[in-house]
Amino acid sequence: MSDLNEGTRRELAKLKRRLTLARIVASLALFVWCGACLALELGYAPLSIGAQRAAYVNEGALFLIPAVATGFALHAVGNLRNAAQREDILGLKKKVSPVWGVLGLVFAFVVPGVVLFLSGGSAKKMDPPPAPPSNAVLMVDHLTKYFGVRRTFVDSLKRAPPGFVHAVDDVSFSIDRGEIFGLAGESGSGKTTVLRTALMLTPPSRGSIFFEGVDISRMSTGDLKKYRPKIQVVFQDPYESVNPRMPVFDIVSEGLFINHLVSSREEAVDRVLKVLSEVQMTPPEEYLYRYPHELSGGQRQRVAIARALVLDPDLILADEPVSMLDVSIRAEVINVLLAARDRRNISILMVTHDLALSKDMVDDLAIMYLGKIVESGPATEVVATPYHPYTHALTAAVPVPDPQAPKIRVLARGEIPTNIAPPPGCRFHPRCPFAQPVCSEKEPPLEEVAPGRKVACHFWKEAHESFMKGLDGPAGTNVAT
Amino acid sequence: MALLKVEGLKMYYGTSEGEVRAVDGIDFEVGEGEILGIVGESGCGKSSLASTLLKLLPSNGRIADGKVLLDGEDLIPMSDSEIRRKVRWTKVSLVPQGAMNALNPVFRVGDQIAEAITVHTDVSNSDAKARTAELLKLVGVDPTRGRHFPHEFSGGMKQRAMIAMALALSPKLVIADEPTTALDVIVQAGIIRLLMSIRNEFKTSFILISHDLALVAQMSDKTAIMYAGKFVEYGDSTAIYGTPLHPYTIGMIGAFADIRKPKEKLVSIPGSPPKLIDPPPSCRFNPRCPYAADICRTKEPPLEEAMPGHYVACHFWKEIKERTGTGT
Repeated sequence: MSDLNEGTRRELAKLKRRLTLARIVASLALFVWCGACLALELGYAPLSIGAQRAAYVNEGALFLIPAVATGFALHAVGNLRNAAQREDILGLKKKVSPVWGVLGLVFAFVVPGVVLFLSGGSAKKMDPPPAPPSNAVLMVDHLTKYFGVRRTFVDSLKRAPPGFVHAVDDVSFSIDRGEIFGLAGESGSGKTTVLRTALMLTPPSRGSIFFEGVDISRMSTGDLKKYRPKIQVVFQDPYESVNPRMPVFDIVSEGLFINHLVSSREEAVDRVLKVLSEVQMTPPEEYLYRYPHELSGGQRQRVAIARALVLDPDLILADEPVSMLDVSIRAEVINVLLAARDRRNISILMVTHDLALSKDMVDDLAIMYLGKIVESGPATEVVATPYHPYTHALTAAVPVPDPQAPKIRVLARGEIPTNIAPPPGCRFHPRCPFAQPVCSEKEPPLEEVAPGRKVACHFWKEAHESFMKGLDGPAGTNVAT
Repeated sequence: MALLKVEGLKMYYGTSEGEVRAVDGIDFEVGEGEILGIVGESGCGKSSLASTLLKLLPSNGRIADGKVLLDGEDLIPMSDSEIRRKVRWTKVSLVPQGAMNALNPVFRVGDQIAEAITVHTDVSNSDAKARTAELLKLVGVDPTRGRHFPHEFSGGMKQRAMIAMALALSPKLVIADEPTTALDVIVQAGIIRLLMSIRNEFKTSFILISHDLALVAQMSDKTAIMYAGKFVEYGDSTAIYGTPLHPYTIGMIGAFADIRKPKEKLVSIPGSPPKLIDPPPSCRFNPRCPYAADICRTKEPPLEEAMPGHYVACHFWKEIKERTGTGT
């Protein structure tokens, strides 16, 4: 260096100072970023493990944080290497260790990795052991589904815990072969989410779904394809669920061709004709090339049922299959489903909000409230002699076609709350006429209280007694209407 | 004298395929403080009837015939401005179908109710606001919520707000078109209770239009069963539900899942409602009717008084009455 003149040396010193500054700024940026990442991670920490995993999956944090952090880290390392090379050219070779960059990489990859591994590992430990395969066609085991609520950057800086819609929370049930299982509840109770998850249209946040003893909830989409024809679905609105530009034959046969279940068109026509007469579209030849707009609502829904039946499924998931139809034609659609069950011994999961109808159609019924099953049992028993105050309130609110019948009653205060922050303890307690302090503290488990009858309520005995006496609630209470 | 008397009302829609006879010769009366329920399936013309009563017709709708007498004054010859000034809101108000979506999303709920008051009467803004608070309290909504926007309301609260708006000028008659459709059953029960208490307190008359037999049974004093633009049965609710005489009414009750009964197999009515374009002179229910005979295909049955205050439009009501005894 001594052979350099004074001016050059000063220039170099200036350059070195700038380089140092650049290094400091780059490292600071890296640290701030890593800190932010860490803050995000910590933001999730107070949540339950299941919720954390749901958060990662739902918000893409799993992928985004390391990716962006890596970008920053590589950028910083690049800067340092650039600087080092320049110093080398100038003959100023000095040990520049890429320590900051390496540290950045560690933060970017290793820390989230470790956190994820730990949370994933412990989540696995917390999961109940896979249930032994049973004869059930569908077994839903501790199913939980959370949906992430959109979160702004400011929220994450404030370390506000991420919000989740607790759509389904720890729901278990099973459906035997040839059984019709009903899920009933108000809108927002999570019944449709259970159905969508059972269909693997959306993966569960926690819990498992066993179809004929096989866990389909952890299958890849490719492996799932094998099971798709076995599980079919009938949607609520036949005006939207059948393609208006396809004739009936195309609608019904599409699944046959997609799943390579037929080798020729003649075979497909044959099968479609058979299934159309099964759903009472007679004579079937006449309907084959009609378009949905030429059919009535009831006929469209029967086409939708034919589309499900043609694949010879073991399980049909029906989401409010008659709620959009007029009363006079509801029965025909229901009877078509019941006949298909009797003839083919298939199982049906039916989601409904109509308790009167479920009594007539369903074998076993589960009542859902805010993502949880509050009561289950044989449908006729649940509807006729409810144990849970919520079921009680539901049945008392159903009008009957008789002007001289006792007037309907409102036995629950207010309306269903949001399930982003469900009430602590029993989720029904803010609306319940039987609520006691314990209800807001301790969540009642779903217990079998009579053969086949399960209920999740601390005071189901009191509620049941009051129902049998025709009272509105515990003695002396006055329920707001 | 009846508050509202409708005589031979006909309303047709002009379409490229011909005239759709949505409302085809309807007669009924609504007394003070009375609730008339009109039950029918989709496409039977019940909502068209509601808008015809207030002359709120689309451009292709025309009132072909009939009278709508409110306190003895015929609304049909009235001009648009006259009916707006004298009848709508002040005497008769409408809770439209899908009322939950009838609120303007960009205005505060309280302001929308107050607007209905200030537009139709000469009250000051502060009086209108006071009245709004009073109305919200009446329908069971916290008056301070009037400052909120519709999206901050739940479905049931929006419905209550719409009812408050309909009651703003203390009308004598409220037409409620499917007031509880799309609401959950507990919320629906609350709305029913609310409407009943309003009727009892203010002697307001209601015309309740619904597809739900049971809902109408719970609320109405008189019931009309509508099919393909006509009343097929009309009378006191106890008579209609207790001794139904028209095969359609009997079929509807049979197809309805009743929560009180043990598990039963529901019976549907085969077929679907007819098109209302140029219907032939016949009973419109004959293709779906188990009693149908030749006369049903050639002659339209008139609405006859089978029992005092119980009208039925069927050639075979006497046979049905005998066969069912005192009614099923």
